[in-house]
Amino acid sequence: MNVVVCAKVVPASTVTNRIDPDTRRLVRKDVTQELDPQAAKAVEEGLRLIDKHGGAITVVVMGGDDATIGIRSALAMGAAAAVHISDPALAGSDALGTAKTLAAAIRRESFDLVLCATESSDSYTGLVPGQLAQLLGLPPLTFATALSVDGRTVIIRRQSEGGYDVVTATLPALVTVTTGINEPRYPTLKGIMGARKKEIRKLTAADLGLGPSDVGGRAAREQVLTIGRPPARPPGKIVKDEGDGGTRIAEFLAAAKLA
Amino acid sequence: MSQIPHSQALDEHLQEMVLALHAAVKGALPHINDDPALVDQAIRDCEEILDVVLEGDVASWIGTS
Repeated sequence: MNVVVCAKVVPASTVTNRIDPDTRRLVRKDVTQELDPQAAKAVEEGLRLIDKHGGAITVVVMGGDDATIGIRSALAMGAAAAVHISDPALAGSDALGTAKTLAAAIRRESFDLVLCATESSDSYTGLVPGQLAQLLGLPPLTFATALSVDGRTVIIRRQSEGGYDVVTATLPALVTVTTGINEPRYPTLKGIMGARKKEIRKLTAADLGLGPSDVGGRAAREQVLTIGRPPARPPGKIVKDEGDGGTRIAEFLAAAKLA
Repeated sequence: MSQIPHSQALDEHLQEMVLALHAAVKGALPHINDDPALVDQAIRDCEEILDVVLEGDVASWIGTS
């Protein structure tokens, strides 16, 4: 089974994120980068599948030259190869431009399954996987809290408001994984040293047949109009337990539709 | 002492090691009370990385030896 994992490399969790007031975008330049923790979960899920069924994982990343560190993390976890799409012409791409780029790169690969995070942990749009599935002509199975493959059928538990739904599709398919699906393994020394010998194929927009009408700032249809801080959270409600604490917790959970 | 002419490769390699240490600690901390075997493994993995760093064979880290 060949799995493609779409991954993003984002400012490290130890970095305080800053928004450029002029571009209204996250400052990424000269900031320590890491493999997006959400993408690491997609890599981990792919590794678990190939541990069981055999095959290999290829990680596909669109990002600047400083994305290499995150790509190496995915390789050190166990991915076999990586495709790094890096080109100044891609700067300013919106979600659709990103999806077109990833789709063009993935079409060059032999794959049974495409795995993505539900959303990245820096921009949180959650738009790319659906667009990618459409461009690749794949059934999208989203919000997976569990994933398995049986023959040519992929099966997920899809997170829902009241629990989960079981959703299946015939491979090839695209699956997005949720935060809670697994705890990703961390790269070991052996993995880090082994990753240095693994292939990272570099591609440009032109290599993928993409031009200014497809990708980059001029092609972008999304615009960030304003940025602002989220509203302050209302204070929590303190309930004194007077012997009815359990009942009141149950009532609270029922009212919030959590029980 | 001779200079290592691959400072970018060295930077990247050390950064990879630090990120791996960070990930190991971050993965193990929530399990201090419920999964001692996982925590022990994470400590051993961190020790292995730190031993290599302390050994300081920079040329081998960046593939020039």
